[in-house]
Amino acid sequence: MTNDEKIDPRLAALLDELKPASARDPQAATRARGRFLAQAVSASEERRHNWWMTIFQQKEKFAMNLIMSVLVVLGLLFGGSATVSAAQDDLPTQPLYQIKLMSEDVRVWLASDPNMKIELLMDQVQNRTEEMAVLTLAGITPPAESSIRTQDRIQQALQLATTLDDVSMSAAIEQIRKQLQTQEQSMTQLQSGSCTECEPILQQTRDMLHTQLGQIESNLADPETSREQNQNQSQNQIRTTQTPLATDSPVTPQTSSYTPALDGTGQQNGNINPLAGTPMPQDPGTNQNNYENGNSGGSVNGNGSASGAGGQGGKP
Amino acid sequence: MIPKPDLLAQAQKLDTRALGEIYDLYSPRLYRYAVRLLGDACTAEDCVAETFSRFLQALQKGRGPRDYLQAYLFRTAHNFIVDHYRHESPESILDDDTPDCQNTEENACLNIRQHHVRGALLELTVDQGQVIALKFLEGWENEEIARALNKPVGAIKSLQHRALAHLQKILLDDEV
Repeated sequence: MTNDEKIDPRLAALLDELKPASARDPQAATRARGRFLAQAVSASEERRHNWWMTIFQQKEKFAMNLIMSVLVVLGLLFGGSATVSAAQDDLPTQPLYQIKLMSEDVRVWLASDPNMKIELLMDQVQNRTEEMAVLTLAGITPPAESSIRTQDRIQQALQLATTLDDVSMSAAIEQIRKQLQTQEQSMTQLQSGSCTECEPILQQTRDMLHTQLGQIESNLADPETSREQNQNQSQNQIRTTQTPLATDSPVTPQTSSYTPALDGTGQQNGNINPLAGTPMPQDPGTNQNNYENGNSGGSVNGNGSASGAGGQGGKP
Repeated sequence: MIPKPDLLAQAQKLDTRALGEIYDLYSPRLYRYAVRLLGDACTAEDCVAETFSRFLQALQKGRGPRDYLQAYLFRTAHNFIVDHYRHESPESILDDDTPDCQNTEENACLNIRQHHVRGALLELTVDQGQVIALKFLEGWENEEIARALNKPVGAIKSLQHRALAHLQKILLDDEV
């Protein structure tokens, strides 16, 4: 600084007394950064969707659906469609989110190598937890479906791992464990300060991840048993799908390894880790995957409502 | 890491990575500036949050700075600070003379003096106050201040001269 004007030393001393600034609270700084980034993500998505909506609003609904379908198919086939690409950053509250989920599932379906399938399934797990984090930071309650879908993909990955040979299975389960530990850590660190309504679903997701990790630990300790359990479960799944359950037949579940329900009811569901014994037969109408086909009925409470925009500091 | 000259261009496209880098780069400086002028950590956090929120809103509307991002952010933060003080009664800010600290605890005395100097800065016009804060608290050069206030350097010198004279009158003439 060049002092091109003489300043009274007493005045300079008084101004100097304002210079020492108290150190910023790191937690407050982190929270503020998170809120700003959530705002930024939201603004970015809004601009992108506005661009698309401007185009699509000029079309009739039928024509729009047709164009969307063609774009999705082309996108899935060639991997270059702008719509599918645009959907990749969507959040559960946004219009192209179902396209994102579809494209993720198709990628898994198209993969022929089980290791690649496991990797893609675990990518989905990571995507869901990241979406939950962004929504929470924006003050929006993440839908229960995100957490249920996360659990389902973990189970699919574990089931696939047990179809591999011994060495590959151990390596795959170890990889899954590492990724789940990271997810669990992220969920634990996630502060729901700006969204108290988010806490139940976050806690349920943390519990679910914790339960899955515990199960993986026991599987790693005893791979043979876990493989047998998986085979038993696969057979039971075939039996359940092929033979309707006799309504008067007593059913005795052989395992107690349940994970908490993720519908906010605090109840447990019949969803069993694939490596942990015989599954409890379920009523086909309450298939937990129904929501993925656009049916949020059954045992899942489709809690997709948002609680408004995230809080901002200061005055509007 | 995005090169600094490209940050604003990327931010105008609402690139979240660029916006994150801008936040990391400028929020500590803005916080320090705000806490010096406001004297309160919570309000300073509000000031930083509101500054970046207004910046984002401007970008969304296709407005916002075309260049000199730092100048724009400090200008926005200063406007927040001025608005904040407008909602406080002037008496609560300028209720005491510069205290005699001979019989007072030094820390408490320092707080009172700081409060008094902040009050005196508010007696200045918005531009004068910002010139003094940027020049004597943040150590900016006149050229940088000129960009922040969108005025020629000569005008900045003139503002500074009048501001110092006015501050001297408020803070020192009572002592004589």
